[in-house]
Amino acid sequence: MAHDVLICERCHTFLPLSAANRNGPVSCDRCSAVMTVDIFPAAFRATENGSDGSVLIDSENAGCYIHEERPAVASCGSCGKFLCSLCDVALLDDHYCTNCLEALQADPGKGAQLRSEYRRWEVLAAWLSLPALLFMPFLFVFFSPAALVLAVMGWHAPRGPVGRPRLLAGLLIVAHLLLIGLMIAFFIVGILSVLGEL
Amino acid sequence: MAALMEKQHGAVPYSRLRGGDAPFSLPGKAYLAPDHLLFVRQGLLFQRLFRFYFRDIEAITCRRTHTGAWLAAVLGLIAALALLVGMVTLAWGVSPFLGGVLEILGGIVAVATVINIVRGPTCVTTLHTRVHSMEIPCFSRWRTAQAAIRTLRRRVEAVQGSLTQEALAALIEESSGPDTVPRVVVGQADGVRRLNAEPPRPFRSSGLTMSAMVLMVLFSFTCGLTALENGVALFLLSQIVLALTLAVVTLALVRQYNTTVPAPVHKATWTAFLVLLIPYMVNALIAQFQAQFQAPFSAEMGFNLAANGTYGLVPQFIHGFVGLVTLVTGVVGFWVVRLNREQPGR
Repeated sequence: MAHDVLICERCHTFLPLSAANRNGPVSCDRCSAVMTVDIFPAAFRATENGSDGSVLIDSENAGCYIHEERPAVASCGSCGKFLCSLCDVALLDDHYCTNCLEALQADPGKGAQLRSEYRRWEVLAAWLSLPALLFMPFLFVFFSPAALVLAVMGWHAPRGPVGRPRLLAGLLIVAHLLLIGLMIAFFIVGILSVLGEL
Repeated sequence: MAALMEKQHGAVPYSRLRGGDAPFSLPGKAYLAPDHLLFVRQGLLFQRLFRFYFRDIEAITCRRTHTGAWLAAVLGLIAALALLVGMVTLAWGVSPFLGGVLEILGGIVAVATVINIVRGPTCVTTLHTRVHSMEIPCFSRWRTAQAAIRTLRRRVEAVQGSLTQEALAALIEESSGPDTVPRVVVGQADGVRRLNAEPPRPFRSSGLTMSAMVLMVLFSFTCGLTALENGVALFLLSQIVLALTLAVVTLALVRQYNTTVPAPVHKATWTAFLVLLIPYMVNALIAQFQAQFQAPFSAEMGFNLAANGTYGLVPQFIHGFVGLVTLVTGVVGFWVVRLNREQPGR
């Protein structure tokens, strides 16, 4: 690993050893690129060997729920199934099988630590709203209901481990409710005036 | 706040990392937890989380780049030109509207230039672990990146211990034994030792991206025609091609999401998307003027499409300029996509 990072990212030539861990920038001799390189002991840590593919040696050992011929090493913290070293997923100070892991991801509590992707429906709603608001107000007849639905979805979407303000979603919901209300009011007034003329 | 988050998620309290939340930085934010760094990448519709545990970080590199200087030069030039042309237009009384718009645009770009200069030089910061190396785009300014790296270094060293240069030399010597698999190749044509080339990666949106670039070239031709020969029919034709192109580029972007699409292709597609938004907005503005200002005002301004079937010199000039920019972007993007399609082993 240290070989890989002791190389100038710009011209791909080797850097001297003195370039690393010097608490300050260094210039590449070849291309004069200024950079800092910090290398940590993990770069030299030996890779841990995985557990071997041992098989059951006697009938007194418990077998894995999925691989019956393999010895169980843990039980799932959620459903209790016995798991071999292949099926065991050690996570959040507990052990899980793959099925329970998927279910855990949907959980708003612990699952927040497992999910790595969150949708931002309110941003899509804002993208739908802005061009129409600025340049083509007549498009609101089509865009406003869609943007309202997306903003509501954004309001209810999971917040993620660092949280996410609901301000944008809230503002969009209020604005589009007002707009839809106005459109309905104009429509009713229009209908009434036409009826009045008749 | 941390307690509230713990209560809500039963999870780790996060604190923002200085430099990881720079203003005007869209790429994302970085947060510190007791045992890891959380990088939140902000996409257009998605937010993706990347966790780097301090025990796994092998190295942090930060390289200063010239992007900030180029950006300052280009923005400064655009601002100066816009302000100058705006002033001349206003002083000669050619078009108060155009002069005002140019002055406002020039002012906005000038402020952006100043902000860019104040934020300092740009850089590329990369975190290396055993399984991957990832660029952290929110650490893109040298000063803030260095501050963030100092904080990260303290945290990582608290977990792994520190490494002096002597210890590092000994470890490198030890790890370079005969059994070590060489990760570099020696003896290129120019005599400089280089890293092995990165293996080609799958690229799923090549067809769509290629179509988008072809459509961009087509749109530029319709723009050129509209600039040469004004008229409602050509104007409408260019609008149809524009709508189609914008839709295909948007689809290509959606398709590229979450794939290992090469960075140049992704950048080319984003550039195409942004370049296409300009004519979209310009045309929308023209349509607004059509609707809101009738002759003689709009006839003076050159926006009276409905009245006499033409739409004047200023929009023609804008269309010509937009067509040129789109042509350049489309051709360059086409070339980039083609280069990536020709990678061996796709």
